[in-house]
Amino acid sequence: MAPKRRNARFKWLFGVVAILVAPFLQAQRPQDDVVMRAMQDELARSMSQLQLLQMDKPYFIAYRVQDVTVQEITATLGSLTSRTGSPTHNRILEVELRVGDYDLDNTNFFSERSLGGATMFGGIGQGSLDNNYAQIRRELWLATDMRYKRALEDLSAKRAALKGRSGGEKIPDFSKETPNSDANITPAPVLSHLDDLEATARDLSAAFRSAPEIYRSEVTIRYSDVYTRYVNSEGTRFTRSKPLIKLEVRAETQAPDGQPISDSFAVYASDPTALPSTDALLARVQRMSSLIVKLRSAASLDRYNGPVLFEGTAAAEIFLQQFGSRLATSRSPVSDNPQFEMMFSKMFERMGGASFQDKIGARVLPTFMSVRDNPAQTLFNSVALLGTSSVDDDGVKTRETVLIDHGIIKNLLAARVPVSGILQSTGSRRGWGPLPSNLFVTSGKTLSHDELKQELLRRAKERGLDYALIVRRAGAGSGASIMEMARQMASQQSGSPSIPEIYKLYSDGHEEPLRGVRISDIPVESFKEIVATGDPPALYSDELMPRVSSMLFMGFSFSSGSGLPVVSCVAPSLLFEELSLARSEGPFPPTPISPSPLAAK
Amino acid sequence: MNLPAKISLVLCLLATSPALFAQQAPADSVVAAMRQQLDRSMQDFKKTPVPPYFLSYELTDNRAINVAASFGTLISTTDETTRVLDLDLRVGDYKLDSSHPFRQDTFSQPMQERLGSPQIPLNDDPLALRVALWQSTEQHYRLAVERLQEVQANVQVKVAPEDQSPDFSAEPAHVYSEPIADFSLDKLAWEQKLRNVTKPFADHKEILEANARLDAEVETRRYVNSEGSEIRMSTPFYRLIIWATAKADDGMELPLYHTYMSFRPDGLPDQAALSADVNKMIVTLLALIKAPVADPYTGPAILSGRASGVFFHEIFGHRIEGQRQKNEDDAQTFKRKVNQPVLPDFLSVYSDPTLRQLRQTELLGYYAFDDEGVPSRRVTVVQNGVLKNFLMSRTPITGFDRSNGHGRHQQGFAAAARQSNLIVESSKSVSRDELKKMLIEQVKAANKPYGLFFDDIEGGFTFTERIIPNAFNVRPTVVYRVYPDGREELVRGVDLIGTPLTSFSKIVATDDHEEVFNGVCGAESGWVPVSASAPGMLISQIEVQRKEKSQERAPLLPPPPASAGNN
Repeated sequence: MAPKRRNARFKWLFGVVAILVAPFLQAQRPQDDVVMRAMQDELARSMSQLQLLQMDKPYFIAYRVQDVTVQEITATLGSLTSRTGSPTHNRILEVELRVGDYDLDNTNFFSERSLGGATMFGGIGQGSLDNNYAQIRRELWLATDMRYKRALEDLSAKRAALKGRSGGEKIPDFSKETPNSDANITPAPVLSHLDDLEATARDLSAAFRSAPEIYRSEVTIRYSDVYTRYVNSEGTRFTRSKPLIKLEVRAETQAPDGQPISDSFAVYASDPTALPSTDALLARVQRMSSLIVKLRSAASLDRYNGPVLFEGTAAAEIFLQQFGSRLATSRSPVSDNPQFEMMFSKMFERMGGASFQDKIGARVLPTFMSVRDNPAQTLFNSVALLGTSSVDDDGVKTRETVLIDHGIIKNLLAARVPVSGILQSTGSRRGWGPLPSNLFVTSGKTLSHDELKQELLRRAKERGLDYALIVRRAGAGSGASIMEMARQMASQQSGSPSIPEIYKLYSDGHEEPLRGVRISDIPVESFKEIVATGDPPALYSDELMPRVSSMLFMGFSFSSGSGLPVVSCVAPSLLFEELSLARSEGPFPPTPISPSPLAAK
Repeated sequence: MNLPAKISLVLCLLATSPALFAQQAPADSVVAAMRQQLDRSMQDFKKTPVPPYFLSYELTDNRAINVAASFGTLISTTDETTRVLDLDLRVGDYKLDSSHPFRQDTFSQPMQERLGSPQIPLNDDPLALRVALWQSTEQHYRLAVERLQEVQANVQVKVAPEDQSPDFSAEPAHVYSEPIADFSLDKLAWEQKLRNVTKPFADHKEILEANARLDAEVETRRYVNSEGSEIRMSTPFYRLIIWATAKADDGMELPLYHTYMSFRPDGLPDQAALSADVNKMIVTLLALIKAPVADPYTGPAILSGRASGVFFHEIFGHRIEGQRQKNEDDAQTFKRKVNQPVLPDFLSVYSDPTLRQLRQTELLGYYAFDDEGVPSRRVTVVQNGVLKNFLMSRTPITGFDRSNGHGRHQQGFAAAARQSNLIVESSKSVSRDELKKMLIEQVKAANKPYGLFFDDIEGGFTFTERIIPNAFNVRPTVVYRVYPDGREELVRGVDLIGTPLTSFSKIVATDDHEEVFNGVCGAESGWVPVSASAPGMLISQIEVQRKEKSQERAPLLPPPPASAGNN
């Protein structure tokens, strides 16, 4: 019976089709993302239609929309001191817009008018949280309009400022890069359960209840996730999720003579399950607590000039501190006020140290050491690296870059802002400007842990010193040093901060902890005089402040509240031939008049 | 043989002890911890050469939920709980202490502000609380001793001050406790409500900004001092503000605001009422962008009740704050005017923080005790035009040596005399229509082409003469020209200027159309919630100028299409 058979076959076909379609329906297609659709549509309209009278049209527009989720928990002595009832959500819209062309555009320019204007931060705004096509487009429309008008003003002022100037290298304002249209499109994440973090914070902070000698202590856990959607007029498009948990423990007290003693440690992970267990953390807290208490009665030293061994994570710590942001490029802006130009180049050098831009081809480390940046690596000894990413914040594909080869600087990390000698991006834009992702410091000449200590003692003896110094934690946080300074000013701490964990090592092998040894910048030149390195290497991760120049001129991609980018650094222990260390100076704040309530229990 | 007697004695004790327990159990473990640490600290500091003579702790618990929406979509929702400590530690004595202001020193900050507030445990663990209190007390003590030395030097070096009143008044102790207020907010329902309420604005391309924001808070304050006071107050606040801005063709931006407030969660208007208000705002905004720009003008005007209230708060209210009369850097306008006429004789002014509401409107400036532990009370500031009292904190001034319950501050600032609920009453009211007729008479008599009617004023912000940016601003948002034939025409771009004090002598009449303005006021002791209530007023001469105008063009492209596929 013909009709029946036809029906049956038809049904079968239908069934097959249904099964094939289902997976597509479940996965999120980019074109289903209403926000991305709104971004692309408004971008297309702006590129084709936005023009004021006969003036330049934009030659480049990028939209970056970041959904930022933050929850911060702080606890002291077993009790929470702040609470956000549920994570806060914010959507930040950012517009980058360029008029002119790749060789000369409105950027890398600082106008006197820029000072004290909301226009300095123009192009960044808070967007609607709802995935509402009309509203997102409207917000982008207004932000683009403002940015365009400002770009025209800047370009015209810049052209006027450059007129009549001759000579000097003509470096393009914007690098040409291959559009990256096959970058990952990841769906927006679902928030994981965070209740346990409150309990962890309370439990860890309660450990200090049994230490009445410690005046102040605090545990902070910060969870953030930034989901980024990016699209630009060159055809690059990507989405990316970046969850991060930072757990930090701080404690401070004073020695009987008033000298402040403080210590802290931070642990980073990309989700709660990747954090160390509460027991492991508790052990670390207790160790820190006992060390601080012991330091109250420890000796100090006046001055030391001799070999110093940075052991374990302390080596990665100081390497990151001194080299971290120097390994990135930095561009001084043109200004309509020549005095500003000079001031900026001097200012940028002083803040964060001179970039290595002038040192390409120069030796900065011993010939047996090399450094590379590798954003593709995800783990080191089963521990997650925090700088991993497949695209940078400009949508440029990330890649491994050899920065220092056998002691000599070969390359620096760059974003799309060219500098003399480095005209292309290395896919390193993280936030405001270029920064390392995962740094690997390797050495062709390593000693074992014991051999390294022996070498240290040998060199000390050579100089007639009774002891040598070992640093196990350097302190002061690497690039977050400006934040650290601000924090210290806020907490009224006087006197300069001290190295949290440093010991005298005597030739018979015994060690004495030292307090009050000032943290000072280790001059970059000292790194050339590293005489030996130790196995195994250690991993240290920390937030790094980008170079000040990037802050001012790439525009603030503010991911408000998500914090600074985290950089991971793997380095072997480092034995320096000679460093100069001195005592932390006073005056010291007075010690408390009455005993802590913890003592009177 | 004595055993039976002993047993009975013990039984007796057992029988009575439950009652004893009930009396001794602290009503509030946080207050108990505060009391314990305060007494302990005062005791420990007695051994020092300069012990404190006064110490107070104030802990403010605040849970704040904010929901913000724009053009029919949600912008943000936050939910934060904080506990903040304010501490007042004084060394010296009531006559001269460490809080004494330096003369000719604009940079010295009160200690409170220099130190900021430390992190205070949120749960009620007494030990953790006491450690936090201890840390702050130590810090404040050291700074107070330093400051007293500086004060003593400063006093020697400068000429004798005009006002020789003491630095601090002695006040009786009080014990008072309110139950912890219930606080409930359906976040999701409010998110949707605010979306719905702001959606209609999106239908009009001339409206560039449209926002609604809900601030729902519950605040519990605990105050303990060395004189024996123990006070606990707990109140919820619900505030909603809707604001929108349209841009006229010449670039002028025209804002409109609407604020609502209640102490009860169900006290805010329902969606239907809010939507009706939004529709009125839209109509007004669209009319404003078409309205002619006002010209500079001097002449008679009517201020609506709201506008008068703001006017009185800004121009009169700040001049009756007690400590200004003592501050050698201040104009001290009314210092010598006690018992003299300062306003027309048909006006009286009160400051009454005991009122939770006036007629049907709730008042934001309500409180039971001020921030120095002094009970609130109704203060008659002006009686039939004659100045009778200033608003007083515990900082005395010549002629007024006690607080009248107006010592207020925002967390992180030292308390100072501030306004609460300012109430302007008139003994000579006419109807609004009659007032308008009187306006027209004045217009004709002065030979002016028209008079002005200020219907609404930018609300939600308070300006003082200081550097703080967002302060009460007497900027009208809805103004009409009133022509001699009675016709009213909306105008835009008006700013009120001139010497406000002369305006007071030019108040001719008031109407019976009283209105309340609820807002926040910023000054040297931070932001505090306040209200101002007044009738409509006819002023024989005010001066207005053109408002400064934005120079930014309107957006170049038309608004984008509302749905995909319509590019």
